[in-house]
Amino acid sequence: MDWYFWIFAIMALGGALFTISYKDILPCAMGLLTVFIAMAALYLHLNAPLVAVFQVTIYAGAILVLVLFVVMLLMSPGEKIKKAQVNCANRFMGAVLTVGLVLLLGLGTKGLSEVLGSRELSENFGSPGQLGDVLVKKFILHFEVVSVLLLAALVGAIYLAKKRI
Amino acid sequence: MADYLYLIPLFPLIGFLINGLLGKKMGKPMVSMVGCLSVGAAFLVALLSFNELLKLDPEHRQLINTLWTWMAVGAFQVDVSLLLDQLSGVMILVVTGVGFLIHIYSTGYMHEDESYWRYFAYLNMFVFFMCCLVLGANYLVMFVGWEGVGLASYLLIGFWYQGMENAVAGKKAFVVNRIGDFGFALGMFLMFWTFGSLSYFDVFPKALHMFEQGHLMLNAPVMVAICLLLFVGATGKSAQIPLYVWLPDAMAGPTPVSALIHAATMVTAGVYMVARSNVLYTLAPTASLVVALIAAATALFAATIGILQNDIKKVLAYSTVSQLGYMFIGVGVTAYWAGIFHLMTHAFFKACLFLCSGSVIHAMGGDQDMRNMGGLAKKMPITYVTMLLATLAIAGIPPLAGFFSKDEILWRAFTYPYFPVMGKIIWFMGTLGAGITAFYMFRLIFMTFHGEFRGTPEQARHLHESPPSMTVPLIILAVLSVTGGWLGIPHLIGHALNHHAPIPNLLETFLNPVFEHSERIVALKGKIYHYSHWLEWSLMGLSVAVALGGIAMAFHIYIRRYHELPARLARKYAIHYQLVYNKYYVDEIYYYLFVLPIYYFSLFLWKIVDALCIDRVGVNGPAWLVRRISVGTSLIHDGYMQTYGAYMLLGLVAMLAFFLGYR
Amino acid sequence: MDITTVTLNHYIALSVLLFCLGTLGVLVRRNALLIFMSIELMMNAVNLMLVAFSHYKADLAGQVMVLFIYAVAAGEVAIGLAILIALFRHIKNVDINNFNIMKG
Repeated sequence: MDWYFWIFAIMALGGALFTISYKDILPCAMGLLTVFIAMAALYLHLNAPLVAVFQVTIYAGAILVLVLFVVMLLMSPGEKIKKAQVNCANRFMGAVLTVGLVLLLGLGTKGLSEVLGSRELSENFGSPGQLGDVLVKKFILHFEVVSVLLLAALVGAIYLAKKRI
Repeated sequence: MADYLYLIPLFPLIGFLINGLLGKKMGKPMVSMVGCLSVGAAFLVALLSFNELLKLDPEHRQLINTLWTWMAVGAFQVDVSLLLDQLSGVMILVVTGVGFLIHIYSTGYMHEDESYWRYFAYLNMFVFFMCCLVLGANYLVMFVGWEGVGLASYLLIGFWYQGMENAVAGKKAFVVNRIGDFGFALGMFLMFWTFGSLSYFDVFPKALHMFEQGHLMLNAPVMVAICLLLFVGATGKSAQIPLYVWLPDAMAGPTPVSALIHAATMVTAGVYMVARSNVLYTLAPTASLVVALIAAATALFAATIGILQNDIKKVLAYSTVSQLGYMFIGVGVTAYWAGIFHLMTHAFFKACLFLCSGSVIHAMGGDQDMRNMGGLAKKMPITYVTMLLATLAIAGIPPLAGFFSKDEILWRAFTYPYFPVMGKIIWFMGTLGAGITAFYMFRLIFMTFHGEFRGTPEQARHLHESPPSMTVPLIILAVLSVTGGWLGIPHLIGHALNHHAPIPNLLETFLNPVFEHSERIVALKGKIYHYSHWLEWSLMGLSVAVALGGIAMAFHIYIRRYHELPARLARKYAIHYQLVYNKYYVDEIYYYLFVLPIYYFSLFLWKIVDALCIDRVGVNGPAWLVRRISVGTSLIHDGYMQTYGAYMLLGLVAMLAFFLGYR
Repeated sequence: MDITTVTLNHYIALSVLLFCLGTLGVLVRRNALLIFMSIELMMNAVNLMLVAFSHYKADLAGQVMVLFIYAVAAGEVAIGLAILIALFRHIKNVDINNFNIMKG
């Protein structure tokens, strides 16, 4: 019985439910944090320590902080949204379809593990050294492209945040 | 010279282009010079070619000039080629010669008109197309000319288009002509289907060959059909019953146009066509009979209308219809050369008559009503003398031209080989018509030139003889009316005049090679009786007597007892008078029978079929429907992102379900 | 089938559930920021699946992909929140019901 997995799986699911269900925005952010931490733990369990570290750093550390900043800037606590809901039917359809999606995906991926099989893990699998090796040797182009992407994001963010002259 | 035949149509074409494109900027003298010289040059080339033709052996008198291959589509090949043989030689001389005289006349008549250049351009175009028609070596080139002269006729009838009636008359002429052309086209199709070609050199030998081999019976239905369809075209072009109705209205055009187109040349195109197709008509006696009967009916019918018309040009118009009837009688009773002979003499005297009437109208300041005329003989001597000579010719008084041609036709009708009994009937109708012709023509002379002047005083002051540009052509045509008949003196008279060296029938012997096959077939298949000379002389004398009787009656009514007799007769026979005066109400009958139904039908097609069904339901309807549906459907985009997301998810779920279910 | 032994199936199931919870959040909630957070939830689900596959198939490419996704996600969050703030300046709340200009 893999307690590790089950604990953190429940934690992730609970956090997700928390996130999408509260009216106030701050509890939702906390729920999201829970999900992020659970993910990091699961990554550790899956022989991906570097990915786990990155998860905590980037998601829990950067992204979530940005979200909290925005919450702080934009929303007063307990603020109720006043306008009445207009597209109830479409949203209900969306919800129903999501349930359908779960069922379909679940059914579709049933028994996938047996079909795909599994392999033996090598020593030091997922270690930073190995990961860096693969990153720089096989995925060097993707790496460079992502850096350009980040540059674009940087420029865009500066432009958006700039005050109008 | 054969290689230069194309110059005959080319000169008028160049004249048309120059006058049409540049005429507005050239002065009137330049325009008249271009116009007249082009036709004059064509006449010169025609004379030279004719001369060349005469040098050839009588059996092989043909000059052929093939210009280029017009179309070669599968089994169908047509060349643009011109043929000058005896028949087209006579025709082309008449067309270009009389045309040239009328061009000269027009320089005087149309002198004050501002669209002078347009007139000469159209007139040259007409001569060009007429030359195409006459010189064509196959039916298609003839048809080009056929249609082209119809177009020129429309343009020239409606020349003063600012007046509504003129435009309407032009339109009527064109539409009625087109009905005939439709028949002609069907005849051509049938001819191609039967003989595989439209060239004279293919169709006629093939027809003869098929007849001699026994493949083609006399009176075969397909031959009768071809001949009748071609004749439908001829009724349209040459104003026979039932398509003659455009010719009286065509008098709305300038008088020289009436002279050239509607007397001398265009309306004779039908006669030329039948004469050219003589082999086909001889092989289909039923068709020939139909032609002759319709022609006889037309001759008589039109003559009766002519006796009561008051417009000088209308009288001449109905006279033309009537005389065309005589020509068709000639070619209908297989006396082809006689029909062509009458065509030639008619061109001379009818053109002279029209030009003289133009002179009179000119002097009367545009008034055409004979009731306002009278006593013009003293004021316009040249016009009077020439018109009198032409009228004597048309009445059939020997030794002027009309006597010989008309008499030949009537004699040949009397001795019609295929249907002797019908021939006698046709002769009777023709003779009666000849008497009526003499009557109404002299009525015209007496009302116009004799008696007291009945017009207004300003008109009386204005009366004058026409300038030389107008009177010289009149004199030339009058001389031709007198002497033209001497080309076709019948054997009887030729023998009688000189026993030892009989005067030959020049025209008949000249044209004989063109018609010899027909003569042979008629001799083979017709019932040839031998008629005595005494009968021929007495018939000849009878027709002269009838003509003199007509003149005498006209003299009696319109000179001696003019003041009360015509009016009294009109009152006494009021119903007949109204009927004949209103042209037997034929125009009205056509209007209610054909024009109005077609008008309402086209109104229906326009308003209901086109505007409603096709436009509203067919074209705009689906567009409106699509618009409505799309506007409705686009409301699915309500602007909310979650709706869009929901629909995207819908698509995704559907696809997943499909693929998972499929597996 | 022993449901207690954790195989790839479990990770896949967990990932699917997280993903669908994220979808639900996107399609049903009104607050724009919350929708944003649900999108991050969906991305995390995908990351989990990638790492799980990388583990069970002994292929490091999965983990490398996850690194790239981190980079992209970071950039996206920055820009997205900047847009959100820009929108907020015009309309004083973040209710997405206001943004229906593309109607029709």
